[in-house]
Amino acid sequence: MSEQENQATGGNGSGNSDTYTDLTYLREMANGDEEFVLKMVNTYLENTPQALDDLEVAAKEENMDRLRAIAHKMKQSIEFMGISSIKETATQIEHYAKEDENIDNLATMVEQVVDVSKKAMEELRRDISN
Amino acid sequence: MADKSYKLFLVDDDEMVLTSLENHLKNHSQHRYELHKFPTGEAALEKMDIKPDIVILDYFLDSVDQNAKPGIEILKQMKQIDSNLPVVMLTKEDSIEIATETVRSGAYDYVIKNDTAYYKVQNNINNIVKAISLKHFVGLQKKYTWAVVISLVLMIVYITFFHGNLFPGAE
Repeated sequence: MSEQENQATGGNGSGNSDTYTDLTYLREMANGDEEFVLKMVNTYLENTPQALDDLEVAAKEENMDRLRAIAHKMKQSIEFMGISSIKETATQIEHYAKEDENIDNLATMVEQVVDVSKKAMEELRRDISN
Repeated sequence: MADKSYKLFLVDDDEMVLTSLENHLKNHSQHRYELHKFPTGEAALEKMDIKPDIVILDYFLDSVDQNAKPGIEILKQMKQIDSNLPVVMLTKEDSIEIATETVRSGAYDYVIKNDTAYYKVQNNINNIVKAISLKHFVGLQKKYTWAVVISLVLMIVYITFFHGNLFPGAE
């Protein structure tokens, strides 16, 4: 499934188009330690709202250094939470911000990352409350 | 040496990396560590009086504090404080230029953050611990060699002065 298709369906690229997140990688890393999984998910839920605000502000101000730094960090948390539908977009934001290229499309790409991340957070909150 | 606890600095601006790397080391390590986690290089530099045995240092550290110095600058400052300090650079950047720059600046190794990164960090730590243990052993050997030499000299002096001849049968 392409990233564009994933965006349209909200899929995570794992074949399940109903979900945004996939904790398989994190669970493999945890090796059965659910406490660790929960700690990582909670850390993501605590830190991501600020990161998304910072990302939007940096895009609005066309602050390429900030945009590069925040997108770079987000790539790692996106991987941990298995939000594969925006993994490539975050990589592209970092690349374009670093190279000062494709600036016209950066706002749209940031919007995509913010939108999917918010949906992923909602999903994770639901998952951990069950 | 088996009970020695190694002082390990983990420096990364991503709390999730700090947590997951700590968890990996806890679950996969054969050594005991005293872990110190820092979100910036500056915070780690302030605690260099702890005298870490090993440092794991991220390359980009400016996602939260935009004024935070990059890992390469922190590496250089750490090496100025302790030129023998083993520093493993950990980064998401798969770049030959960055790898060369960090190794030239004195990094022990350069590990790219991917699925196998923590295992590579673990291998680096094991190798560093082996080197530290060997250095300690050689140091002890040297110390005891000197102790044996000094004891022998004192014994010779004692026998010569109080018994008059070191080799009585030779007269």
